[in-house]
Amino acid sequence: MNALCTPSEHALSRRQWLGQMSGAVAAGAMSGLVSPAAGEVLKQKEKQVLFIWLDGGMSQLESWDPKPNTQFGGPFRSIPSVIPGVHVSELMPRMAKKLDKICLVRGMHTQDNSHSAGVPRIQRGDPVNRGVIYPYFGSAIAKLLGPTASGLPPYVWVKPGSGGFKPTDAGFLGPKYGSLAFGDGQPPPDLLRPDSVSPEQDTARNELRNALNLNFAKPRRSTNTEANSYVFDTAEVLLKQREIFDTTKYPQKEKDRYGDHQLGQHMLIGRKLLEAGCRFVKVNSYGWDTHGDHFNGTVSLVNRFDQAFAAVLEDLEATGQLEHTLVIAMSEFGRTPRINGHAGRDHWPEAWSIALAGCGIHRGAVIGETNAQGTFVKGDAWDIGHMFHTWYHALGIKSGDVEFENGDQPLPIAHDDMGVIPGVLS
Amino acid sequence: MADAEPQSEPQKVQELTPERQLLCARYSPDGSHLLAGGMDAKLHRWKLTEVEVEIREKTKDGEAVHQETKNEWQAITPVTGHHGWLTALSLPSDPKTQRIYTGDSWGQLRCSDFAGKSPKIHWSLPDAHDGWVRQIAVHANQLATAGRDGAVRLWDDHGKRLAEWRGDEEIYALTFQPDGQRVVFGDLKGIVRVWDFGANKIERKFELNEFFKLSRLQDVCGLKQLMFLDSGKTLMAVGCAPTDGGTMQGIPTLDWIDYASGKSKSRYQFGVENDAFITDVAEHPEGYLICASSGVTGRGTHFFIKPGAEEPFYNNTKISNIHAVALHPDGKQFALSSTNRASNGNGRRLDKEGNYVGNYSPVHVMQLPA
Repeated sequence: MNALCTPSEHALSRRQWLGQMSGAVAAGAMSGLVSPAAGEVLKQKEKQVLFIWLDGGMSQLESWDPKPNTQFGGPFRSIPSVIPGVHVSELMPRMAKKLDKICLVRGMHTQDNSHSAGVPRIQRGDPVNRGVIYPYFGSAIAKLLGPTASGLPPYVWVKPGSGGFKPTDAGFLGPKYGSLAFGDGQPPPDLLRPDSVSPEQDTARNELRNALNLNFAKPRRSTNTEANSYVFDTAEVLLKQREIFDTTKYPQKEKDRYGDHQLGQHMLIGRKLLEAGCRFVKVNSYGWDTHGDHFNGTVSLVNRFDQAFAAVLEDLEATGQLEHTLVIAMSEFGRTPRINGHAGRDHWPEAWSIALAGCGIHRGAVIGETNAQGTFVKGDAWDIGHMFHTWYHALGIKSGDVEFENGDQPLPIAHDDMGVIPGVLS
Repeated sequence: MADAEPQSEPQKVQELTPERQLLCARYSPDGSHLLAGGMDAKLHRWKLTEVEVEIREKTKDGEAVHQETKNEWQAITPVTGHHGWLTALSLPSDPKTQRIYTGDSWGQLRCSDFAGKSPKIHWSLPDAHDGWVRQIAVHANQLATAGRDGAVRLWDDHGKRLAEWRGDEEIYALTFQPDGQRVVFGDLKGIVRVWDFGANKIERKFELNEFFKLSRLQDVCGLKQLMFLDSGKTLMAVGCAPTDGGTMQGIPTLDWIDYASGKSKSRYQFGVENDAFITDVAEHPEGYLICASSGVTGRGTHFFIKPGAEEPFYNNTKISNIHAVALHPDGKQFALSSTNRASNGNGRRLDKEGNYVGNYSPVHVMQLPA
């Protein structure tokens, strides 16, 4: 698929979509943890994305941009990284040794300090308001790049809590480009064929369902019915990869490296989904909104992130996947330098950090800086719109040229007035 | 007090206003100094000083003015040399001592004098722990320290390490057994161990499960303090039964434990989840406890309770987010280190001059009723 063409050319018909999927089903019939089909995908080096979302707001001061021994610096020390002169928090000993694999953007300055508005605003790229709801980055990539040859759903989300199909992520693109969420790292319980239903029975049922769907779809909007069918189609493909979700079969050593905790295990499943060929994998962690007892809480939060993030980078590098996988680790904002009476830090979009790695990303770069107190960005500051342009370019999508089509309305895929952050791309 | 008249309540006699937030506070054993560790890595000091004050009184002829002398706490130069936060301090009980032991979040342990313009530093161990020194306990000429590195260490008063215990979890609280022969410490998960440091073995351990919760990805520790009461028969665990991470919520908790069996004898919990921690406790010579609490911003209380009682006999919610309570050795005064009002808030908030300002800890000096 050519990323330079216009998005309308990527609008897959259901027939094409199913055709791709059935091919993948056949290829995946011999699937293991990393199936032959997945191996083929790896060889093709299709662009993929691992999007690690630390929901609630990770503190930049206790992670990527420490200011030890300053008024707002908190209790922790900083430690030197492998990049001379660049330090990170002592809570990130593993990433300190891998900082040369990533690009750190320390000069983020965004516009929203609330979760309710901030989370979608950030994940939709905060474009110029044209009265439409923009897609989350995952949905945008699902639309612009489509599924890989694996036929696996292009936008999946490994998260704690509930799962299911999340069409609202897609905004004006339509529900088909929503995310398929694996709650608690498991496929939705009713998505995969239960063992009590034989493949023959399942085929017969699907034929009946398809016939009924066709009748149902005639008087209705195609986007909704396509999305409806998509869930079932997806189930068929996922069925061949169900071992991904059975972490009991993963080698213990591998599980230990990622960490015996929610984020570690979900990151490991996320990596398997990338290996299997999902285009865009979001791995979500909740509980980062540390308004109270922040410094004690941060010890476990950041340490566990450090462990899981370092492990996934190491593995992506070892398999060569990092070359064609864009890795993003971020929250909706950072946390206040000011420490409140509950020993917490509040929401701070004024000056925070995002970590990037992988395809198209300048390894070992540290872009932007905050002042000595860590309160504000010093020099050039970058908004999420800049970041979206940068991500698109890293994936080979010229964000200034490519447009979405919302009916007859052409829409830029990222903020009109912003561009790529200098120095981030390799 | 529950049935007391308003005039029998503790009265605020002075408010001290350090520029920065404080984490721990104690009076010197001779009662001459109030000492506090700050988020600026300084040992903040106030000295009891006799001052002359002008008293104006209305008379039938107008107003009369006369001078009176009174004792006030006056700030003296803070002691510097620590890093990060000054998180722990402890003093020997000997009223003749001039020494204080202080620990910081970068692992430094130090012994210095607390009095004088430039207090003498007797010794300093920059790497006493690998990171955060959480608590220091003193008994006679020995001290014990607990660290984020999972270590408990015993030192002599010259800074020589005598013994060490190492575990996998952070140690949050410790105290000496009253006879000084054991150190009792509690970790992140609420496991309390009795360490016979002479034999260098853990003699026994018991679990205070209510003081720990795994909330999503976050380990939430509720244990703040361990303290012996009734000559060692009761071990009191102080803190919070956590219910959630993130903003961190929980129920303030005092657990009175039969030390011999390790079983809870009684427990006092109060408030709602927003009330979070009992942060610090001082034992009054008359046998009751002065407790301070801090919850989400704007919440907090100080209260007096008898060990084992079901309810406090005095409770005051006017001062919030109290992180330390210190009891003067004369038993007539105590100090509460709190947090300024409106200490929280998302996003940019600047003062009139456009500066981004931090919070601070007003210290309320309270006089107990006679």
